[in-house]
Amino acid sequence: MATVSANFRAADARRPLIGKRSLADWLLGAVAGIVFLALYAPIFLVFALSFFRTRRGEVQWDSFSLDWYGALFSNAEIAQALVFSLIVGFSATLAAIVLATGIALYASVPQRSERTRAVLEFLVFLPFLLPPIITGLSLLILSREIGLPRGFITISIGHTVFVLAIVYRILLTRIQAVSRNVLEASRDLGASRWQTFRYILLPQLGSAMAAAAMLAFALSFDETMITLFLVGDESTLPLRLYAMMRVGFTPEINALVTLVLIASVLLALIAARFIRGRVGDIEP
Amino acid sequence: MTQSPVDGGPLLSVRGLAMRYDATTALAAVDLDVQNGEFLTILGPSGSGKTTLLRLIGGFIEPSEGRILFDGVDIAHTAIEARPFNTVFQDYALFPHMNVAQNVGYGLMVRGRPKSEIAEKVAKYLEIVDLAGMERRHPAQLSGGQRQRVALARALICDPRLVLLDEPLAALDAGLRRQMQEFLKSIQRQTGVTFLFVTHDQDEAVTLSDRICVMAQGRVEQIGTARDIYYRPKSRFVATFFGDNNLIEGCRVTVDGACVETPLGVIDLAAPTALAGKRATLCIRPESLSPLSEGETADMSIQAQVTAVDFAGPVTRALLETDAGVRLSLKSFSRPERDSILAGARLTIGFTASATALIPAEAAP
Repeated sequence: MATVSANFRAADARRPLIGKRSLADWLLGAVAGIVFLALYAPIFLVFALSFFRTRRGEVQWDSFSLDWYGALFSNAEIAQALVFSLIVGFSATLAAIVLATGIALYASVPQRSERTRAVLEFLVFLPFLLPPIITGLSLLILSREIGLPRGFITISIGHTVFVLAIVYRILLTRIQAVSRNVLEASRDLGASRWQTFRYILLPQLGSAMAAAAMLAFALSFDETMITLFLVGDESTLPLRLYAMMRVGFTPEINALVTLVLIASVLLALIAARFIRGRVGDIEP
Repeated sequence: MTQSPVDGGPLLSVRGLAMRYDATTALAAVDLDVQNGEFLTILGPSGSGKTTLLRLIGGFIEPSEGRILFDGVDIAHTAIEARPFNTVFQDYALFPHMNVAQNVGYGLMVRGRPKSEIAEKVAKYLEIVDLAGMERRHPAQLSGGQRQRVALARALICDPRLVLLDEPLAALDAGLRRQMQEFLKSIQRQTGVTFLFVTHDQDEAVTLSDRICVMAQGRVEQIGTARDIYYRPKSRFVATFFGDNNLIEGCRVTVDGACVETPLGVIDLAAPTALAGKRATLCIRPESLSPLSEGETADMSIQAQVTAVDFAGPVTRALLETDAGVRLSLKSFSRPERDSILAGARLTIGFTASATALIPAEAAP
């Protein structure tokens, strides 16, 4: 093979592993198709059923109505659960942003050893990777031991611990992307550490914070397992949904799931835009 | 802000400044005086410790040892924002989320100066760096040269006693680079602010500086004017770092220090030397050797054979070998007619004693 010319090898490297319109290409395309069907068909079904009625398992396409949405909005229990979920989501997101910014700043000090950084990363990520049942259960035991009543506070703590990892990762990446020279330039021009944080670092973290907040909020909004252990008198939306389904499946659940789905997709899209950042946000 | 240093004394004195990281020494006991109002260049190859020295003076890092005296006070451990020095960074380090006016005015803004004063001074300094009308642009919309000038205005607006420049022209292409050299020099003359400039480029150092401090391997090799550094090198490193040089080994200075015995003959020394009675190496620049025509005389004249000639437009370079077997390179202005420098020809070449310099001989291996 040593005699093969460089040109030939370059041309060879350009040849794709799988030829277009080959048998393998068709097969892989089919697999992809089946996977996407399995992933999205149920979602589409829920979406359709929130607008149309069914008779004997068949969708009646001429029966479009927003009745289920109307029923949903007049359901006080669901409205309460929605508001509670929003409040918990905001609180957990805010707490996670503040805490993760602190930890990420601590981790990004240049003199910090790689080892310290790895340990921090591990500690922050562990609750995210552990089965939620462990996080939920241990927080439950803790709250009982210290006599903290279950409810808003315990759920917010549980969600904060859960979403901290994702917020931390996004913020750390952005902090490390901010040029060290730019921070030094600020100090050199007479700014204190606080002024440098306030005027130079924080504005450059803005879009990353917004993205992290949206992802954190989305995670908190549909978190179920940890919440299950920590819930008090007031229920979050996913738990309310679960409770509703135990007594009988009503079509307004389809409407609710559709709304949550649309909101989640929107959040994810906006977050993705923010993560990429605006042009010229970091690099001049 | 305008108090002057003790009459005639240096603005800044570095004494025994050292920086060590674990096992490596980035800077070894450096002494340096910076005079008020001068353009001093720290010149050295990469790894010579020049940037470390600049960062220590700027306050970005703290030294392992040594003092930095400013107005008679040791500021080696003073906080960076408390030093009346400002830095122009190699990558400019402009604030990407701020426009030109905000960048330039930043130093005044964090000092809590009134808005009207900031606006007035920003306009004045943008005028100085020839960027008037660019206030609303963002760094991403500027060319390399323009960013450079914003960085300079941003440093100057704080009325620094000393401006530190860390290879600020390294990222620019050759043409723009020459233009910015002119510009830097004129700004420095215009404002009278002391510039401490770091570069690895010899030509840049010679063009810009009042004085040059040559560094290598964490030490100061020599400090002096460009002419000193060029014609009076004190070490082998300096002698070979700038351009071509003839190094003639195997010389010995007489005990009284009056003359030096060399393979080219005995040369009377024009100035006293610290190498009296020692082995030395003689340095002479190729263009300090000149071919002598019949009847011409010089302090020293030697016979040599031309072994190779290289016509390079304005100058002609030639390799010579003396009868004693010493190889020399010679550089002289080219002339339109066929001149005496021809391969294989015998030449009489002359030089003055004052064009030579002595450096300590290399320690015997």
